Amino acid sequence: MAETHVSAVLLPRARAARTHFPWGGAAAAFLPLIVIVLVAVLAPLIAPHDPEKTVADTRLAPSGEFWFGTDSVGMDVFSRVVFGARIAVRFGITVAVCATAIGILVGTFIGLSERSRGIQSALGGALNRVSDYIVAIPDIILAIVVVGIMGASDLSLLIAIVLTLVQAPIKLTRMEVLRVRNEAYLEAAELGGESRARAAFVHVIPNSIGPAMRNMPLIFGNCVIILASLGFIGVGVNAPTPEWGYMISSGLSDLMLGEWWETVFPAVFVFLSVLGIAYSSRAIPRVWPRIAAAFSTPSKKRKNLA
Amino acid sequence: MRNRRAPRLLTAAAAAAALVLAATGCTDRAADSSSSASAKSSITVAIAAMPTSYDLEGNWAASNENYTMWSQTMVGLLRYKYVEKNGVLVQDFNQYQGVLADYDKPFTKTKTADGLDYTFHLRKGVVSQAGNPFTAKDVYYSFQRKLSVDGGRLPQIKAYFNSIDQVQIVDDHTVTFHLHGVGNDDIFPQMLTGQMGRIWDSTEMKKHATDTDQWSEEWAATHDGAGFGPYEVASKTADQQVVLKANPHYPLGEPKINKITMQVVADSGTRAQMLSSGDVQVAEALAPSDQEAISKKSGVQIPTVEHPIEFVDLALVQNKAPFDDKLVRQAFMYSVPYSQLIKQVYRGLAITSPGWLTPSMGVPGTSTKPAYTYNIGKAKHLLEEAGKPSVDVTLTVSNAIPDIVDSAVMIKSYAAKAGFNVTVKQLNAADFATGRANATFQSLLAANRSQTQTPSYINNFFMPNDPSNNGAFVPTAEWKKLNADAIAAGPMTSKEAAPYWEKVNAFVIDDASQLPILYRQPNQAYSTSLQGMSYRYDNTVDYSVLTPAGK
Repeated sequence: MAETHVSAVLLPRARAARTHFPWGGAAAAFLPLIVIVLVAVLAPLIAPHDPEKTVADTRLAPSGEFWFGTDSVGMDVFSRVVFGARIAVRFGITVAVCATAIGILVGTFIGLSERSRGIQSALGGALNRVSDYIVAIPDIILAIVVVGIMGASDLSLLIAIVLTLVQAPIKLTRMEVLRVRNEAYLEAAELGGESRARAAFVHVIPNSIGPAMRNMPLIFGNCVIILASLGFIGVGVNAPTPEWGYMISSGLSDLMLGEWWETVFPAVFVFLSVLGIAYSSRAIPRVWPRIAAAFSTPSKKRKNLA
Repeated sequence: MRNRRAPRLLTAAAAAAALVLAATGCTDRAADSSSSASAKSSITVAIAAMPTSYDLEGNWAASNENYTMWSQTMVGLLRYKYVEKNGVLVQDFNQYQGVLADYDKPFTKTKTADGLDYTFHLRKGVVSQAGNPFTAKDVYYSFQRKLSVDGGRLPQIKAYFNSIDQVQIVDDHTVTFHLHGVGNDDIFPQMLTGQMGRIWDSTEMKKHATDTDQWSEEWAATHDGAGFGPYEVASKTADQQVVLKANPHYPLGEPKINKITMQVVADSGTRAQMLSSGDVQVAEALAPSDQEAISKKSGVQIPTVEHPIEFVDLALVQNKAPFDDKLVRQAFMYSVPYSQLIKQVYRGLAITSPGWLTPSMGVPGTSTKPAYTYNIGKAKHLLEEAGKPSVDVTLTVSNAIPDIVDSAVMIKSYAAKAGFNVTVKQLNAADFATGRANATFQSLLAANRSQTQTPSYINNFFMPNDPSNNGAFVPTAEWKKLNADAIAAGPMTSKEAAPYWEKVNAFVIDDASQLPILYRQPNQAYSTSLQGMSYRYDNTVDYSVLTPAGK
């Protein structure tokens, strides 16, 4: 009865909260990301040609038939650029999720180990030190070394980029854990007999992941840049994979002689996508509290009334 | 407030794109380079990389720049005779001119009971780059060194000698080589014209010998000055340039171009653009598309020859599946878009391949009919016959050569229609060389050339008695018999031997393991302010025959 009563009381308020949902702000924040993901998902529908097949004469200038011209093998540059978004998004999402998840776990472990003793402390200290060293190595050099050791494949590329980008979530999470670990509720949980592992997963991680989660779009953007950089210097994907960096690199020689379309279009797409992702990564944290507030209002009220 | 940044950033993006477009537009100018380089006796050349070795005998490293440096600083007893065709000095691979030997009659050949004697008449009054007089002792020293150090193609010269005693100094200016057991397939003079036939100044070389380095390999790797070539190194700037100056003592006369600044410009398109705008007078190692792009510009000339010898080599390794089946190999050969490669990737700067036997080898009546043509119907039929309607193939290439990568990508695209699912695997040059040496590839595409243009030399590409070779073709008893019959039929350029060599060529074509799929034109471009474009066995520019236009 009480619940029914509460619902009846809250329904108009919830409706009011949803009315105040910041649609404009949310759309503006997410739009660039959504567009990039849409282009990637709908690539087979958008691209008029197979991106890995010779479809016409080589190096045709942009025209009504081939909007972005053709490349040195006669492949349609527009189709390749569109499919290039698919590769960038595939890597971007995978790397962002993996790097953030690993970063949160490792950062939490390091943070909690700093007040421990014994093996956990030593291991945490060692991980922190290794992370410091890796941070000191330029991203692209580290990625080249990893791909050089493992050989060119999607997996090695993924590991290389995750390794270069996981350091930020590790550091961000560690900082949060150092703050959270002094909270009274954690002490209470320990006094209540909760194991350290359970306390870490139930209390520490949920309260420490904020900065790392907000960092995810940045990882996405950095991944696109590193992927393109590796492709540009010929490390990573194999020909004729439509990867933007590789496309820029393979058309560079022609650029010098005025055949600009092979290089400029993928370069513009790298630029726009990184710009869009960077915009989203800055806009989302600003909009997020309002979105969260809009969605959380009913439950908070419910809790308060209960 | 902050949302106002987005339009600003987009404006900046558009401006950046416009700048790039404007910059590329600027490159489209066809500068008249003739004024900048006219009647010059010093030129600037754009090369792709710095040379890494000045001694290709003791310190072998295959690269266009090493070949170039080796050819400018060192010479041998002989060179192939130059013949001018369509404004290009091409070499007749069956006629010789003396360089350190007498120009018109460099050697005499005498049959002996067990072989041949070659007697060379050396030039008198020749001095080395170091100023030491040239004598028969230099020839003796050079051959002793060739038999003692390892590198490059020395094994092919070593095969002629059991000991240095076969080299006899008759007098200061006469040397005789006593060769045993040689037949119609003798290519000793060709060997002496080539990269492994260079003669050292023994006096200078001995100065740099040490107890642990009897043949001065360490010194020679990084220095010149102990040879008789048309040029010597005046200065080097690491990773940037090497400057050559003409050797006034060069036996064939001091070169007309007395100073060459070889400037490293890594990108082919930039090298081409620099030639087009008159910043350099020769651009080496150009991609065909770059050559084509500047070919119509004023002040630019591109050498083309009737019978190029540089080829794109397709190897389908017959001891690795799926190419252990001859029908699959033949099907793949029918799936290669030969005409499209020549037209699209090589921009017309290549010709079809008749196989290994080419007209430049001098065998009478050599066919120029393409060994294979693109025929998807035939390819499908062969795959069906082999019981493999769909075949996965990994085609490995070096990413150092863009036209080879493009060729592989185009083959992938076209071969799919026959049922070949080709994966193009790109490796850096070092990994590619290692994989090739270790015979790990299933198939590969590479740039190659036969520096000795004789039919019997083809055998060297197949590394006999090595069934794991990555040269793809494992010589069989039938192949060996065909070769033996051809050699026994008469001199290689005789009418009697010609049909036998055609059979040898037909056998390798039918085997479909390793074939030149096209022969590409020289990869240089010159300013019209120069004349004397050349094409020789190693595809290096002969700067000693280059002259300012009109002189």
